[in-house]
Amino acid sequence: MIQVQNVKKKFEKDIVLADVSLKIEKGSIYGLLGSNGAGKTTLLKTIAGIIKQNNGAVEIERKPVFENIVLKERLIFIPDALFFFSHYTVNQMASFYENLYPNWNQERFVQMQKLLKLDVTQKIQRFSKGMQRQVAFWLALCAMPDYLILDEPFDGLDPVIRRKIKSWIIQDVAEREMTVLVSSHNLEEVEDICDAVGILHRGELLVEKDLDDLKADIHKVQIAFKNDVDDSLFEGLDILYQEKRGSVFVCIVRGEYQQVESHINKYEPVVFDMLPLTLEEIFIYEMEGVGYAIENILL
Amino acid sequence: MPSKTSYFKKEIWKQSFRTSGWIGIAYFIALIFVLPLQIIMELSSVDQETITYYQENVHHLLYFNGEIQGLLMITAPVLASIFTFRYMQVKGSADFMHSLPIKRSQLFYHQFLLGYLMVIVPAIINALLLLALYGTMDVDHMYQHADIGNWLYFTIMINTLFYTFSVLIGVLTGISTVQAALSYIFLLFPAGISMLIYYNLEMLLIGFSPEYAVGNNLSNLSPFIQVFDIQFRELDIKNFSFYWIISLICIVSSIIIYRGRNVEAANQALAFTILKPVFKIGVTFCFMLLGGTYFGFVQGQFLGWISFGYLFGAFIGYLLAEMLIQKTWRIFHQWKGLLLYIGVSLLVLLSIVFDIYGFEKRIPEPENVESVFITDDSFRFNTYQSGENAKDNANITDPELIKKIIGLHQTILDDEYYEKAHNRNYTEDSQTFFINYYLENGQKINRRYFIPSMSELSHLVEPILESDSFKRSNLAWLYDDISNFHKISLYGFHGNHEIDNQNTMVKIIEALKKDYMNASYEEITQGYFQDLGSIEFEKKPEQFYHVPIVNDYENLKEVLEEEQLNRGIFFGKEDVAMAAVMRTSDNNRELFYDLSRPNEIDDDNLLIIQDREQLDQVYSLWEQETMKGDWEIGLYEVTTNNFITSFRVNEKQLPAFVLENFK
Repeated sequence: MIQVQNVKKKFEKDIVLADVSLKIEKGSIYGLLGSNGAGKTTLLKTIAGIIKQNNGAVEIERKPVFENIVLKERLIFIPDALFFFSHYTVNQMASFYENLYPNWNQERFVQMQKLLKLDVTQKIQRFSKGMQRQVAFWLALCAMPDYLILDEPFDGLDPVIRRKIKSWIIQDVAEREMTVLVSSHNLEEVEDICDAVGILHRGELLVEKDLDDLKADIHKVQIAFKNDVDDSLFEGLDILYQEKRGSVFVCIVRGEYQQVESHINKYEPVVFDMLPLTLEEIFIYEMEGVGYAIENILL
Repeated sequence: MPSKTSYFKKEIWKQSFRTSGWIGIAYFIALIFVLPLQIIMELSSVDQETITYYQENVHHLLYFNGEIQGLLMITAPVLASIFTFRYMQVKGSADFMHSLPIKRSQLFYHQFLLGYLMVIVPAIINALLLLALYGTMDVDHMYQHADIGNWLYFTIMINTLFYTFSVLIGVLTGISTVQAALSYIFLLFPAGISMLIYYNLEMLLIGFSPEYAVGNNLSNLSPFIQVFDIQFRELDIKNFSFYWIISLICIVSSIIIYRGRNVEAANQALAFTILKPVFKIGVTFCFMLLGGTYFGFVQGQFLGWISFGYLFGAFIGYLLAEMLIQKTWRIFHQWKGLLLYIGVSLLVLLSIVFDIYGFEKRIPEPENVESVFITDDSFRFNTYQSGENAKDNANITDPELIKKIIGLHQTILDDEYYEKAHNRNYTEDSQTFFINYYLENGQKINRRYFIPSMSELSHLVEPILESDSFKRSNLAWLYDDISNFHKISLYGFHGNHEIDNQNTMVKIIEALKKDYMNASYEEITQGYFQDLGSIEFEKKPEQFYHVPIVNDYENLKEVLEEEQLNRGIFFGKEDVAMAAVMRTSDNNRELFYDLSRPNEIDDDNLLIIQDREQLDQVYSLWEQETMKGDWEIGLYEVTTNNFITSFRVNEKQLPAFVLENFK
């Protein structure tokens, strides 16, 4: 379990993280969203124990991460700009990992090589970007981390590699209860794997949601009536958004499916559709609720 | 479940070696060329002459390719520190290395040790090679076992100092090039800054005496200079033990600072925000001094130009510091800091210019003075003394004389006999005076004045210079026990003699003492310009003193005659075969020095006299020379026509035949 409490971080005079608190359950995948410069990378590096926060606490399993070797042996951070030692081959890099990460799984390394069909004696820097990304994951997963922190891992990758990497991650989460923290500026990229999502904007965590809860509880409702209906229809619902297109009302409603359905049915609508929302739509409406226009925060 | 991990991570070393191993290898190869190979090459061309040369002149292994060894000492360690610590100066690698499960301090030790080995191991292997060479070949005349030890000790010590220092700088900065630049700047800093400060104080304060100021040997602390200097000097390894202390301080503070150093400092010129104002003030101040120095040198007279230099220098310095910190030259919107820094620096300078500390006017009360040392530049140059402790001996304790010296000092100040401007006009009548007071309370007051015209002051200077205590204080070293003297060399107008017989040395010293104590003011000052030759005293260990020989030193003359050492030292009529006369105003003294073929000279402005009778007439003027004469006469040796000496006389003194010739 990763726990971040009231973390503040300044670079000289600039406040990068204002007051961030979040919690990531064991065995879950947490998506950290935010536009460029929101402080995502800083937050990830703080959680990975690379940089030290000015205030607050960053804990994994209730122990501070910074300078905690026992924890860091079970944690791997993959930055958005990958780093490999210059002129290192995959093999050399693997021995480096093997020396530093005690849970290194050589069997797995050999196994994955067969899948990837990459030459382990070639210099990593000669590989293409997508291949390098795969090497990074390959090495990281063979270190058998319990915590994997990924900074923009899918940025600029083609869909095939993206899917491959996602499947690796999901597999480890399912098999070994690995905890994953993944950042992205694009919701679509991560919505299919995340259990929970947080949005970081200008160093502050605006929203933090469990995706299953979100999807289950918010509905897009389209209704039309023969006659005018009185306001009690809407008063009985938790409406996030409402507009009228001709005679059709379009509402975003929060609430249990059955409850909403029975409430509306009482007014005998002529047209009645209840649809699930895409994650992006949910965020747009949620963010409007806290006073932000989502286009400014997410692409 | 905490897993058991070993403290030593070999892959970190491997990686570090892959980036910086070449330094060790290159350094090793360079050392092979510089020492063992060089020695083998010398051996293959050995003859008796070289063997004696080595025995006499080569005292330690730093002699071999000393410049290259120095160059290696200043480059290899700095390179090693830059490359091994590059991991923390590059963003990607800094993040990566610090994400690894290894403690920061441990990471630091791993890298530090590897880099250190790169500069230590090559030296050790080389020492072993030298040892093997010593065992197998006949190199006894070049070095012994102890020399290898000393060489290794010195090399390792300097490498350690430069390496640890450069690491410390690396921890404080976040860019490798800045690390390199600052490492070298700070290694030169002690010498540079003391030079700048002294030069500026000299410009601004009348009477400031850098020669005797506290810490004038600060430049010796600059290890940079030491490294290149050492090959010419005795290698006394005990002298440098404080380098170890500095190295230790560097290591400890590097570790402490590294622990608190942010990973995000990578790519920042300065790793700590707190350093920025310090750095800016430092650079602004140094450049201000530099600007002042430049205009002081070039223009020299006018305080306005020097002030302009200060302002301009501060301006440039501030801009440079700002540019470096922000890593851009487009910094034209930050003027607030500039005004602040220039303001503070100028306040410090103005306080010196207007002498609010009362430096210029300070003259001690006679009753507070314990002793005084007074000397002048000509004396300092003529009686050149090597060795630090030979510089300043305060042994004028006679209260009467102290009063006279204070009176002289007062007169110089009150009547402004000193020259203020920095562009000085050096004439034979000008003189630089040094007065060092030792006060009862243990303090020292050191002053120096440049007097353009000594003759105006001679009535005050004469009684001081003629006093016994002054003479004794100036040649205090001569009164040392004879066992401390190693050798006396006489350098005359023709040839030289070396004396190491103790009895003869005692005789010469006693005679010189007598002559010197009897010498009049004129004789002493005459000696400044008209020395025929000099006596060099070599004292243990390796200290040299020079004293001019004056023609009137009768006792010395006698002793030398007795010991048959006078040939070529003192000269009489019979030693002079030719004289040349010219007007001083012709300003063509060079002509004087080479008249070996007088018949080929055809110059109306020069009269050559070879006729014995005329020669005797001119020679007799030698006794009546005047410093300010309009005519100059040169005297030349028998057979070779080599220049012996020259002197000046007035037109009135010249014999008629000379004037006739110039009509």
